[in-house]
Amino acid sequence: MMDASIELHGVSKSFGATRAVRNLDLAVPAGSLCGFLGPNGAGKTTTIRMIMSIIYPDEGAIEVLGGSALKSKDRIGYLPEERGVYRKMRVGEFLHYIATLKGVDRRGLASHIKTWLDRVELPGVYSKRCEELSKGMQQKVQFLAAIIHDPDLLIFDEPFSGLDPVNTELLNRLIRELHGQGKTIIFSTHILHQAELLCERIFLINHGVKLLDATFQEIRERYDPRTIVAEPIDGEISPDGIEGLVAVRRMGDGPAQELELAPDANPQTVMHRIMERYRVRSIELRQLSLDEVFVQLVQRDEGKDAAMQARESLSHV
Amino acid sequence: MSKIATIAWREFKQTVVRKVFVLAILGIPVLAVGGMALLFMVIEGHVEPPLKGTIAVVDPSGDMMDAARIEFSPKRIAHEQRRQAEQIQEAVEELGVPSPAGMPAGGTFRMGIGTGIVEIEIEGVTDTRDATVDALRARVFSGDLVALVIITEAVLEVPDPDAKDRARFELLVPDSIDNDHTSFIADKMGLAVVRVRAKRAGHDPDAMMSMLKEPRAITRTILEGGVEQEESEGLREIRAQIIPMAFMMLLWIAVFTSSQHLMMSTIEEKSNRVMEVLLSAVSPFELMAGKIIGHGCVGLLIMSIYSGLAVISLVSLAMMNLINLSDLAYLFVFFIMAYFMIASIMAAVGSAVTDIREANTLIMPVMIVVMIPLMLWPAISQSPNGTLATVCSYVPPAIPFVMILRIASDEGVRPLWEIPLTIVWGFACVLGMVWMAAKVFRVGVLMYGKPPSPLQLLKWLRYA
Repeated sequence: MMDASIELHGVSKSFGATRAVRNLDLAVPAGSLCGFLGPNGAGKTTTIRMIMSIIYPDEGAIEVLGGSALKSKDRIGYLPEERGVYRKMRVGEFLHYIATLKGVDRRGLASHIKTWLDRVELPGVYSKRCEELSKGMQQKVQFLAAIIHDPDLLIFDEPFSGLDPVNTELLNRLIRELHGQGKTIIFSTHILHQAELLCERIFLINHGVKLLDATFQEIRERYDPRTIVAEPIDGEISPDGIEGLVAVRRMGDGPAQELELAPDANPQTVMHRIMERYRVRSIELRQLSLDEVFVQLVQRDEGKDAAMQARESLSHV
Repeated sequence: MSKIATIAWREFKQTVVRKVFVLAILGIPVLAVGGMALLFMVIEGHVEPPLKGTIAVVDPSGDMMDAARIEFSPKRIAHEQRRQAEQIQEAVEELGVPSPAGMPAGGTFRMGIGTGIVEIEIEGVTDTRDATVDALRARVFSGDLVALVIITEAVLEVPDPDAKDRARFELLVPDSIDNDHTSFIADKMGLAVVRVRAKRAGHDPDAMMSMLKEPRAITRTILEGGVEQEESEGLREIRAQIIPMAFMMLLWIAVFTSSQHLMMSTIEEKSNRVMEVLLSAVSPFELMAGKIIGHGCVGLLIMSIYSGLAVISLVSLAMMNLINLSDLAYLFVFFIMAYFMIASIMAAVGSAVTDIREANTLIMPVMIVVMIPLMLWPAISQSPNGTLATVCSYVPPAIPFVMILRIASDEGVRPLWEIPLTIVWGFACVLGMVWMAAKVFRVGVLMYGKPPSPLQLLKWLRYA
């Protein structure tokens, strides 16, 4: 394994009777772009705050860039979930202040800030008061506050929340770019789809317990898709008589159907058998989404009811 | 360390470089001085309305007429007005001001009654029949008479020394008369009655009235080595009560203004959600320390401005002998102690809540303790080494406020070693309070939602 930028060993944290994080092990490889996923209240923010040494774990050990985050705060860029700006402060002054706190030399800082403001499409706001900016603009300023000191490790807690599609795309681009510069990036999100677009590795947690820790490559290999989506031209596909199919579900009001494969069936053979018996407008092996992986994992560990709840929690995000 | 300095500098700058702050801090003394100047200007320009006309005195014996004429004679009134001016001059000089230049003595004097023009004729009436008196009443109502005085024989008798009540006479005036004029006439008529009584008892009224003027005492305090220090009553009062209170109020204002700013800025950072952004760069302790130091500098600035202004005005009035320079030094020592105590409480409370209303509930118990020296200042400064003062000197966070009252008091702190002892004890308490505040701050800054109870705050001390 590569050197880890962040390592957690058996970390637990409780607030009163609530166990926010339980016995968590994590290793974020240096130079990787990782997603830290889970529904709301899964324990992501608590974990990130512990990584940042803002709060301390009850048990376990955390190592960030080879030591405590307190010692290397200037090398870490952190965009918290609870983020804001000083309303009365000017944008340039605010970024200047945060950068100075992170040990950036004051010389040339103003032009450095202006360059970055231009890059996030906020030219000319340097001397504006923060309260004069729209919420989306403020979010971009907050993002700059996290990266202005050119850190080696970037931790973003829900970086996309509240952003419109255009700015989400801008942020995606910047994150990829920073990753391209060799920086280690970890970001949390409850929108699993977001991680699929960006990450090469994900950690999935629920109720403070780690459910999954793998690269996308590993996930695809491990979670073989077990569903075929087909749209018959006439009639409906029935599982009777087709070996390897165990169940069929209608998808919405249209003719499309979800066909569930038997555990040992070969998807290619089953699709071939379907096309022999039915005329179809389309047929495909469905790619397993992270959401489904998540639901499956919850079902495996906590039973059907919990899986239903998990599906529910995801459909609300 | 440089991070703490960066935070402190921002906090200081954001508080001080603001129109509101400059207006409030510099505006208050300017307003106070300006207001007083305006008041004096009004007084200087004030002209007492003239008191002219006839006063009817109903007295069956007819003795009152002469006595009243003497009391209202232009010569006597001029003499009294001179005497009054001299007395005010003396009072001003007693305060230790060698030259009353710039002091509004003239203004104050002019406010006294009798300064205006007084031209009164006395109309004596011996007829006490109802019809006569009613006619006189009608003349008062119509404005023909300035006043009507009805004296009965009983009033003119020499009173029984054991009598519970004083004798009374009737004074009838029109609605339009000036209040000062009414009391002037009442006083003068009273004196006229005394004059009649003296004469009837066979005394010379003028000699008797001079005899009744009690002499004034010259108070000298015998100091170490037999040195005697002369001090007037007024000066003694100022030294014993006003100076200690001024010192404490100065401390109080500086500490509470700056720590209030500290709390507000902490609440603002929380409600703006900028707190965690800061915590990504600094530890909670660095943040708290920077904020406390920054606002402490604000407090020091406020105190320096106010005590500077006070010293300047004392010097310009040549009254510097009222305070000791060492007391000023203690003021700064106890400011640091008081500020750190109150600021650590304010920082902790500010971190635990999300708006000012919630903060007020939490601060209440602390405020009660710090109100002690405010409420007890007369008792403490009068008896600065009594049991009450001594006990309160060891109760945080009242220590610095009580101690500055005691130190600035006339008597001073006895025994002297109590000063270093309370300083050491006070700063030990400061360490404890800052430590507790840091614990609460660390937990509080990331807590949103329902504000904690004081009991929960104590629980937070065990977290993290």
